[in-house]
Amino acid sequence: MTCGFKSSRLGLSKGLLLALGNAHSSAQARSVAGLASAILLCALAGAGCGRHPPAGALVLTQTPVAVRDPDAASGALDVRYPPGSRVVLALPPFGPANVRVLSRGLLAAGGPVVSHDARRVVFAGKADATSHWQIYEARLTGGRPRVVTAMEGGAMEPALLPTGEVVFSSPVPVLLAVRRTEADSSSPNVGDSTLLINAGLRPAVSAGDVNSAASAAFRAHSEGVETASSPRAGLATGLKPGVNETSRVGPSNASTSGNELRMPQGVALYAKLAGGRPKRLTFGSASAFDPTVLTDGRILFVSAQPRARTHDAADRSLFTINNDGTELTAFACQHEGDGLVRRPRELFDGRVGFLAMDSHALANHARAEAVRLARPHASRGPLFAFALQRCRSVEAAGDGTFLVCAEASGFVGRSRRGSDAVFRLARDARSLGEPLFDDPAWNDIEATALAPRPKPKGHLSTMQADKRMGTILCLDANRSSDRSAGGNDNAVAERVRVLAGLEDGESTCLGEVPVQSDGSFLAEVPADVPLGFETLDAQGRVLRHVPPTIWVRPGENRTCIGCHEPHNRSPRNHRPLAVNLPAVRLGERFQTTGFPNGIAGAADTRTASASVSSSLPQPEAAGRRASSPAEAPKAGSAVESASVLERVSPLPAGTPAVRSESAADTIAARDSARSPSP
Amino acid sequence: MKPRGFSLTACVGVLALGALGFGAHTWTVAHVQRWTGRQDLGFVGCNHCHLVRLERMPWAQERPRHAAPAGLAVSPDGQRVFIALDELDQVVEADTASNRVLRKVTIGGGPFGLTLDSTGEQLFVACRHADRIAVLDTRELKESANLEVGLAPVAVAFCETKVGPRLLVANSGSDDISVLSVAPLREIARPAAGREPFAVATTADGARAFVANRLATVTRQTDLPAAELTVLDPASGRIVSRQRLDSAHLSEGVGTVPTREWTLTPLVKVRNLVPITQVANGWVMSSGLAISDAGGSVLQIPLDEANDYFADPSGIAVDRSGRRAYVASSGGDAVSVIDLEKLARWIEHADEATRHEAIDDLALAPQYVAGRIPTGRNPRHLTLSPDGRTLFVAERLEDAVLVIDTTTLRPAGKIVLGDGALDDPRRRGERVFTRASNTFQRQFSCRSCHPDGHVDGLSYDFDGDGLGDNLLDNRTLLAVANTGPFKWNGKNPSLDVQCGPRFARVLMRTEPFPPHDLRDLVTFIQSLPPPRTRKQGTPLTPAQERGRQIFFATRTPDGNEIPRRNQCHTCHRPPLYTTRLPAAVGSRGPRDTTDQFDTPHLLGIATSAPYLHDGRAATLEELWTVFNTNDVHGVSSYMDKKQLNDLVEFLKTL
Repeated sequence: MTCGFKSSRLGLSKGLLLALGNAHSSAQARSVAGLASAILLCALAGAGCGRHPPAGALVLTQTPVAVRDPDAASGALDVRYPPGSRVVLALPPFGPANVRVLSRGLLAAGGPVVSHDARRVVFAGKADATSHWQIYEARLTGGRPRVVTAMEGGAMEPALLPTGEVVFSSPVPVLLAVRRTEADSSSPNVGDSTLLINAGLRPAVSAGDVNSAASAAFRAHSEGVETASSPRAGLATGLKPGVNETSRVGPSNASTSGNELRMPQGVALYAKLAGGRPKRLTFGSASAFDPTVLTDGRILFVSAQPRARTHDAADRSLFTINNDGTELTAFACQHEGDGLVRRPRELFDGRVGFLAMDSHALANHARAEAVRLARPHASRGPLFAFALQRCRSVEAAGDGTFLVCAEASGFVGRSRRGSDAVFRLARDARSLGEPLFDDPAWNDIEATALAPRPKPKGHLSTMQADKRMGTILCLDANRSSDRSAGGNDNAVAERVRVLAGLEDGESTCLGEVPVQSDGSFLAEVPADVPLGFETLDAQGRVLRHVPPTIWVRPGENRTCIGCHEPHNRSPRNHRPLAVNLPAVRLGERFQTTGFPNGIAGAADTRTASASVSSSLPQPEAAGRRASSPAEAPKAGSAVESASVLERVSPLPAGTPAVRSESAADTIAARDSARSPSP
Repeated sequence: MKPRGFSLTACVGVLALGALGFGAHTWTVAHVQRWTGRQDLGFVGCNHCHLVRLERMPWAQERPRHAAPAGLAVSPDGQRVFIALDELDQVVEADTASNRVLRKVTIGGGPFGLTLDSTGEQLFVACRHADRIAVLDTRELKESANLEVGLAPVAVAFCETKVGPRLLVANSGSDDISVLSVAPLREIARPAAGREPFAVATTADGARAFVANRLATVTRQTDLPAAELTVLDPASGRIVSRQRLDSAHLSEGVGTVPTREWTLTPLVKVRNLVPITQVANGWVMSSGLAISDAGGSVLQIPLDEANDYFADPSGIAVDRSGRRAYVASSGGDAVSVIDLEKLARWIEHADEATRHEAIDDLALAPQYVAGRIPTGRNPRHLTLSPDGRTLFVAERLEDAVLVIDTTTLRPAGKIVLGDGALDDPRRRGERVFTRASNTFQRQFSCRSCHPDGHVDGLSYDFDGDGLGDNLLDNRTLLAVANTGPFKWNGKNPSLDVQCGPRFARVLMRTEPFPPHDLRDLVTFIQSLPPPRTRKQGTPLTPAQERGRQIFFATRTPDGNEIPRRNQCHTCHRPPLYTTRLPAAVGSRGPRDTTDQFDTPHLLGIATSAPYLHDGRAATLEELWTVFNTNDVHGVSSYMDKKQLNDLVEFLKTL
């Protein structure tokens, strides 16, 4: 069809040239030239527009079954989408020959997402071996993809907001060293949960093996434990050498010794409109990735629930935020062990599906699971009635069925065991059945139907860009589903210590807030900083500890029912006593600088941190206030002040209350070390 | 004319015009300051005080009327369903086998609520606008009798008692219940109900009647609101008890469960005392169901789910076997099916604390909600066939009655009454007004806070201007056309602005209305007339007349002149009883950021309690007895109790 269209255009152009040559007078020549120009313009426009693909077409990622040089992988996405991977449009009738490459000209590409109106496709792509992964947009009618992002550490996992903004996670996790394991092609279960890539003894590794690397990368990424720094890491991620002297690696429970997985900084979510600057959306201690946009307009993503106790396993679970990063809310899978959760997608049948895998399993050993929107915290279970293992992706097909990409071993014509194909399954399916689309030379993954879906709701931001603080209102600090540290669940909190998360996994005290008799407290806190809380009894002993998890955006008013209260609860209708008093201002010197995609600290010498309103009845409860200008930290002293920080370990029960006045400086130092991306 | 002459003429003309304009401006400002007695006012347009005529108001214009179904009643044999069409002043009879309209009869006065006697021979019709009950002979479909009842009757129920048949009528305008004997048709009692009684149900044996009241009883500012479920003895008309539904309102239906001695009342669980920092997780309100048992204890359970809401629960129908209840979500366009046996099991196993907090647990509903049946726009009234196999749903803004097969929980047909009238912008606007899909997760609609465009009688704390600051009483939308600016601080110059992006940001938490929807919505709001507070054509009583003289007084009874700025009619100038200018009336509270508040119109003021910008005054009397001790809000210190009562009586007629 395309060839025919081209030849007809060529014929038309040739005829016009002939007509132009035969024109006898200048007037004739002008008129013929004008006609020719018009037709040529039309032809050129037509070449750009083409025909929109028919309904029922698929957009999917194809990764080569045989990876030539696995050692070349330097980032998690290089593992997930090895060189040669591509995003294609598969047209019905489906077959290996009836595909159109959407990622033309790119070294590798993957993770396509189709807009709700089925007119746009965005995906992660890599132009060449030395460049970073970025988000690209392709026209379904053809043409070369257009780069959308230019993130310094790379960008991945796009999603589309109804406004046209692309949400993505950045930077792309970087793999440094590679260690050989005992894994071989016949034994994909390596037994070791660490990041393992065959060091080249095999001519090629299976996609399953390389995906295990990605799996471990994300596992480590989501937990955020630091390891030694390395100059190469900074270079590899595009950060300036020395800018970030620490990096993150997998957690202790993932046995990461010997693996050097560099995580220069946590992966965060960003949103970017075409031509605009990226705006950072997440500010938690843990990384955030795998975003998708729900019909109600929220962004659903995967992150880790910070551990309340050091020996706890970190949960990989699902969270939501609004499209401006406000209202971080736990969505599902909290406190359900240390398994991995990936690639959540709304299924439009009242469920959200996702991939789940044990923390010690390979990424291609994922199970398809789902939660019901009606009871997301109490309804997790298999997506299908049969045990679907080795699942790579699940998407709603738009007609009530699902597109599942899974291993298609055993089918006729397969050249190799273990490659993936696309299946269409009904909700009550009992088996995978025959593939809908299968190209044995490729792993066909991440298939999405090219069908219109409900347009997600928009959301008008309640942020106030001119503010540097947000507000936290807790309706009842004594309301918690956590046990009290001392075992006395009836102990009443007198004060609440507000913590700010640091990049080294520790936290620092911003100050303390008095708790009113109804359990409520109100505090103004620095925006875009991970915040944790500790309730303290009258003797200053810690009753409950909520590690730095949430954040507030500038000008956001955030309200919680309790400190780690049960999920999906509405508040009791009462007016909290705390709103009758002015909010306690804490950590005033933690501030955002207005950089579009992150926070950077700047010491504000006007007031000391952890100050408290003098009108409050317990002024001492909120930390010591700088009594004279000499006591106030000076501008530029942020790094030096860090040495006097009081760091708060996660939860020594019975710890007496500590008060810090200079915690801001450390975060300021940390923040100023962060290099804002373009 | 030479150029020089032209220039000279032009300059002189411009100067003359400038001087004229300056003079006019100066005169206008002086005029305004003189007649308002306020020196803080500058230029004010003439139409604040002049050129206002009620007959030109959008709400006074003739409007298209549509076949919007209200009350439903099914004949005992299940073969016919009667449908009230209040806008058309008609009652229609439809065949349930063919779903076709058989006969129509004109019943003047806005027939709204329907009920049949036990034989099905008499149909009783509550006529909302005529304050009467009409009796229809169902064989001839002809009006045979009628009786005057309280103000704005909207629901009627029939029951057999030991002393004979009784009718119970919910008078939504006069906040009382008319208890009628049927033969002869006469009123035997009119006990007071809660605020805006809206639905009536009786037990099968006629021993008890239950009246659901739509609004919470008037409370002040930060008091916990509560709606009332009024329980009475139909035989005597005496009130047995008044059950309190905490933090509940918008109850438009009530049903009894014969096998369990339960009374089910759909409600909106409102959380107006919590600052509105979000709407997720039912932060502002959620839908629920109150279960009252024979002992008078009340349990509230949610109808909403964690990420899916069914806003504005309205009508309810309970099958005679007591196994299922059906609740219409008029904002969510769905009917929720409640498995009462599962619900009973859950209640049996739940401990006291769990039951107490059940309404706030959004993960609970799947335990007893057996299904959700999508409907057309704005399902309100429900009724079941006697065998319980067919559910009829009045799709009010669809001009149709949906017929649902309750064995499959699927639509089985539709009784078409009209075309939906989508060519009428007012009707389109009403659809927008009642549609919950505009808000985040379909949590509520405009109607959730403004039932029928009026007030919910609650105060809210919006977070945009600080947590705990600037509590705001909900203002009525009735008769607001041409009364801009809007909001208590008068910051919104028009309804388009009021309902535009600000509303989306603060309340809907989604995107603003599309322009065409906003246009229709404003058209609808402007078409809302003031509420009717007394029977039509009734002259003022002597007390009301004395109150009128006080309202327009320029001198106190002892001859002292009342400063012009303190005369009632200076700010509350007829015919809208507002000059639409901000004024300081000494009502600034400790958490308010201004003392200047928009002057509200007084049309229907009797029905829009509480009063003042933050709802601190529960009654009109309190405006002067509690909150105007320094004669800033008018001069009232000279009034004795009788004079104050007279003034209030007059205000209640507006």
